[in-house]
Amino acid sequence: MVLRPATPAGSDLDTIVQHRRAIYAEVGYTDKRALDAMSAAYREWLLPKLQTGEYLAWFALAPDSTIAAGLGLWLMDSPPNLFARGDRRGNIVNVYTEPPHRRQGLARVLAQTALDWCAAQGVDMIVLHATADGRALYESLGFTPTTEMRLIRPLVASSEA
Amino acid sequence: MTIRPATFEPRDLDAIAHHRRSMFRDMGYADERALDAMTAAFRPWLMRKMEAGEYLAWFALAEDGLIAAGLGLWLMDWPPHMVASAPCRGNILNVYTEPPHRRHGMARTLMQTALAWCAAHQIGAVILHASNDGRALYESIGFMPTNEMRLARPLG
Repeated sequence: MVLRPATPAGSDLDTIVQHRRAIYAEVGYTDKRALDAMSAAYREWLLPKLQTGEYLAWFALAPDSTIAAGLGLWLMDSPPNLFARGDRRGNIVNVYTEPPHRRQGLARVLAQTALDWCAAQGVDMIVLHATADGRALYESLGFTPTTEMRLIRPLVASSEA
Repeated sequence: MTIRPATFEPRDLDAIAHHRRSMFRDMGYADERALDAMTAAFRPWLMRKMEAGEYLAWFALAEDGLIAAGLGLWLMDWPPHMVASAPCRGNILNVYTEPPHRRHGMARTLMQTALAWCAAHQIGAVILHASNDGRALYESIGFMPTNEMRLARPLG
């Protein structure tokens, strides 16, 4: 299996955004306009982070060299805690395998690549949000559930809504 | 109950760092050296965030005017997603009530203060990491568990 890191130039940015959109679509978000809006906003968020190295990504290539799977590692700011003295956490995001290439271990190799990178760079703590499909893989790599809780407060609609 | 916002002053920074240390200790982390190291690393982070306006905190005061409880709200960078549209999300942390002042609803009042701030500032998603002691309060406010997972070992 051939892996390569993503670069800020060229079409890698679009591929990452497309992976993110596909993940949301597969977990049940069907509103195309909302997916479009998210994708456009995400692209804007991602580009400077790819350029500065705050966001890294790797792709697994199919035999024809097209991208079969991808994984992102966002090095996010975080308060020093008892698991990590530094203020950098790894956040694994946008893990996606194109349907014809599933069940071949691509996501596992990508995740291991990201974990190895973190170990080499002294990133002590890595988090992610697991879809139902991804959970078994992450458990097998040693990830355990956290006590995170979330409150979503629908924003007040603008006057023209 | 009097609530006041934290200011960018050494005594308030000290109070927040003390709350964080005490919170972890109450959760069962007994390694004092690790707690000291964490606190020493946290304070400069806190200073940077408060200076940038990315960390807000409120204190509940006891009748003698001393700080009885505190709560922090970190406005963290968060990528655009499908759950709520905002350039950042609120992260509630360092929620701590001094033992003599527990069971008086201070944490709940502090939480409502922080959530009102979030609502007024268009922050649609707020997260936290719940201790066992805090979970019931957060559930009663509407917080729901997420699917977050973590790979880490406590530092020695």
